Amino acid sequence: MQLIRILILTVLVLTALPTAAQSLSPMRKSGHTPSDVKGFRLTVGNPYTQRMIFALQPTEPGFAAAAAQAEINPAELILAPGASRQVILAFEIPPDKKERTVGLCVYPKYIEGPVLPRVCGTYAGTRLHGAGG
Amino acid sequence: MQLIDRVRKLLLAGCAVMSCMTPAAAQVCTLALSNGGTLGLALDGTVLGSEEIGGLPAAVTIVSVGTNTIDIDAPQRVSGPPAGYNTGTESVELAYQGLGGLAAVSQAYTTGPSGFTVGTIALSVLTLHNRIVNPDGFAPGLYTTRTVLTCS
Repeated sequence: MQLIRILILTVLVLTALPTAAQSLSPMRKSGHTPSDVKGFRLTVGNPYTQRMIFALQPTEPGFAAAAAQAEINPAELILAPGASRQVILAFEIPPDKKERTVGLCVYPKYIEGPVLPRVCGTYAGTRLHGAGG
Repeated sequence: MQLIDRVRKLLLAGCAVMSCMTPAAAQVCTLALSNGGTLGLALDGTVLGSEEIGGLPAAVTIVSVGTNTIDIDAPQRVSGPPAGYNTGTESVELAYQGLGGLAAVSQAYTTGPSGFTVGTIALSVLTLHNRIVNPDGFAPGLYTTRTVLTCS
């Protein structure tokens, strides 16, 4: 029993965490561009009751890998309770492609524990002219 | 920031890079982790789980507008194994149960990825249980699991 007590003390480390929440709007969007760069203006919100720091990560459509030739500004947000802020997602459409889809994931930056909640959207840009393959 | 700058310049030049976007149907997903969860040790010493004595489940509140997908990755132990711990016999598992607008959602303990589709729902709760099962028991130390829950 002594060993079990020690174990319980040592493993009860996943303590309750502060609430962490995020929203992203819209979740999906597509549009055209006359150039090889497409931009989207998106809104990230913190609808709950405490100040939060969020990280934003452009990804490939499956949300597993970071997207190359894609940028988000800002890449990190501090939001007061109930606040929201617009961010800009921009990405290049390769010369040999007519369109490209990227993902964007928003998640609490400082979070520990067994669940990492994230909200991810999918955004597609299509060239108006001079499309490649 | 090159791409962002280019987008801004195009916008300032009156280009419709932003405005020519097709309006999207309103679709919003809000996730809130209201309880991170705690693992407790089973009396027989073979399970570290949120349903054991001293354990607490994680709780995620979800608000969805439109049709969204909740993907739950396979749970993993993210802390390094304590000295003397046999990782070869462990199984990291996750189960969940929905409430409110997610009442139909239920997943028994699994080691793999899972998920479900959600429509427009008011604030609803998803309760997630994590556990590490190891018939060889647990060496004293830190055990942390991690599951990525994605709303897209």
